Amino acid sequence: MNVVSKKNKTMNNFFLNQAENKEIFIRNSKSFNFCLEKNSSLYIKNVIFKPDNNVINISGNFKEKSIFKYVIADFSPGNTSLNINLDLGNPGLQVDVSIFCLSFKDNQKKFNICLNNKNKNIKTNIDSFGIAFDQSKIHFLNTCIAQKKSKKNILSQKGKIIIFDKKATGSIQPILKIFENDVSATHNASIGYFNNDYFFYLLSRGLKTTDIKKMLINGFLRQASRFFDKNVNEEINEVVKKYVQC
Amino acid sequence: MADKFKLVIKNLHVSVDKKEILKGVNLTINDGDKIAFLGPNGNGKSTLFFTISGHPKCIVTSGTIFFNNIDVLKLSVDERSKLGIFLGLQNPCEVAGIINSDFLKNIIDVRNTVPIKLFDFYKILDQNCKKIKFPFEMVHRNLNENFSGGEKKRNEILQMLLIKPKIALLDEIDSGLDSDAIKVIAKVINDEYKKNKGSFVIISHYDKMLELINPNKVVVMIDGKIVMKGEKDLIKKISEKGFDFIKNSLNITHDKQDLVDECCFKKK
Ligand SMILES: Nc1ncnc2c1ncn2[C@@H]1O[C@H](COP(=O)(O)OP(=O)(O)O)[C@@H](O)[C@H]1O
Ligand SMILES: [Mg+2]
Repeated sequence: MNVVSKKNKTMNNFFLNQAENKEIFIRNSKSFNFCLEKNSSLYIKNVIFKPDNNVINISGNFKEKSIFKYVIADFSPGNTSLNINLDLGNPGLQVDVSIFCLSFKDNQKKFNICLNNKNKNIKTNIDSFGIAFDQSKIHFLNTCIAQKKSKKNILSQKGKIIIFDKKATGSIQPILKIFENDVSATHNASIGYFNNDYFFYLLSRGLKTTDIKKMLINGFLRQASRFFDKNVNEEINEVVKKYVQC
Repeated sequence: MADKFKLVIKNLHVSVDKKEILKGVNLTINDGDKIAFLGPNGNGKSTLFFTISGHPKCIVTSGTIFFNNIDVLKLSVDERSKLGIFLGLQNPCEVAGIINSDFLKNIIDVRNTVPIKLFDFYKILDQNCKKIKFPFEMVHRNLNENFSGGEKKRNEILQMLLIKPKIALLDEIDSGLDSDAIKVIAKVINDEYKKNKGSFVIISHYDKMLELINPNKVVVMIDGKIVMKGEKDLIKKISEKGFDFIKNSLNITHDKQDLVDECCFKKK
């Protein structure tokens, strides 16, 4: 059955057979739904460049011991809304989500991840990192739930936002709801404001504001580039260069 | 080698958050000076350094700072740095998101018309890391992020070595360092001094550091003023008697500040 694609033509669907491994590269925003058979593993790498209102909805079904990995690098000069909502009902599942986001001008970036663990030996990890320039906004809402019976689950979340300009804003809401004793959970959220002391420190080394911006973006790209191929990274570099010049 | 320089601070009044911290500072830093800058905590030493470097929180209400004939107070923070003024901070910021090596390369590149070749940069970096016994891996981390106190201080010295400033203002560069590390840093400062001359102004509370540095001048700041200038023997006197003897004698000679200014540094 392929109900979802009939309803929504822009929606992709990924069906993985038992023990099948698939790595897929997606350019720009595309919603998708997946269905993972036992022991299969789906790895989606998503880069967004397009100046668009990007809306991405991700949903899926997991069978035992299947793995879903998703990394998104969002450099689009536009708004983005990502929603990942996953019910993890089978044992031994693994979900790994990494988000990288640069926002400029008055862009609004919202990333809403909700992982609902309902069985044993599930591992989930959410890593989010953003830098907000100009008047832009970044919002990370990461929710991880360990329901009763989610024994031996390992839940981790990391969120980091750097606010570069005074008018930029950012928020991280790490939510952990744990209803089972036998769970290990870590979360770590930090928002770094580039205040006068930071600027003074860097300027006092002879750097200019554009140099500082460049270095921040370099640091960001170094982290994001680990996930992508050389040619994608080259493209990312080209696109990002344009932002620094202003 | 290069032309001689002079930084002249005259009657400098500075407020921070509307509170007057510096209350008429007069100080000349000559090319080739190695000055121990002493004074009890909270009396304005760091504020003077921040003001020279141009921290926006330091509001100059009157007075002047000239580097030769250049009006330093008219320059932006980065221009002052390019003029050759370096401030080694007491508490350097932890800058998440900026890679140390990227930062260190950039502070060299902004001083040159052509960016330094990566190969040459790493060679210089490696040499200097060895000099200060700074583990090379630290350059791959984010700038000061989760560095220990001592590592931050070494990273400041590393920047100084790469930038090669004319005037290095070092604010408690030895705090957080163990005695071996103090020896290393003191040696680096002395070697730089021998090699490149320039001048150093060093705030320190450690006799050991000051002894190793072997300053040619000592100045003391109390309550936002330079209240005493002298030579090396002053360090010993202060470490034996504390700053109180100065405060006490000040009560008597308070109106004679100008006299103190004039008399100091005269060779015996
Ligand atoms: N950001 C600030 N806001 C208000 N007061 C400050 C600030 N920074 C320093 N001060 C005050 O300025 C005075 C001098 O401080 P400082 O220059 O750091 O002294 P020192 O370096 O001699 O220990 C102190 O009274 C301190 O509390
Ligand atoms: Mg101080």
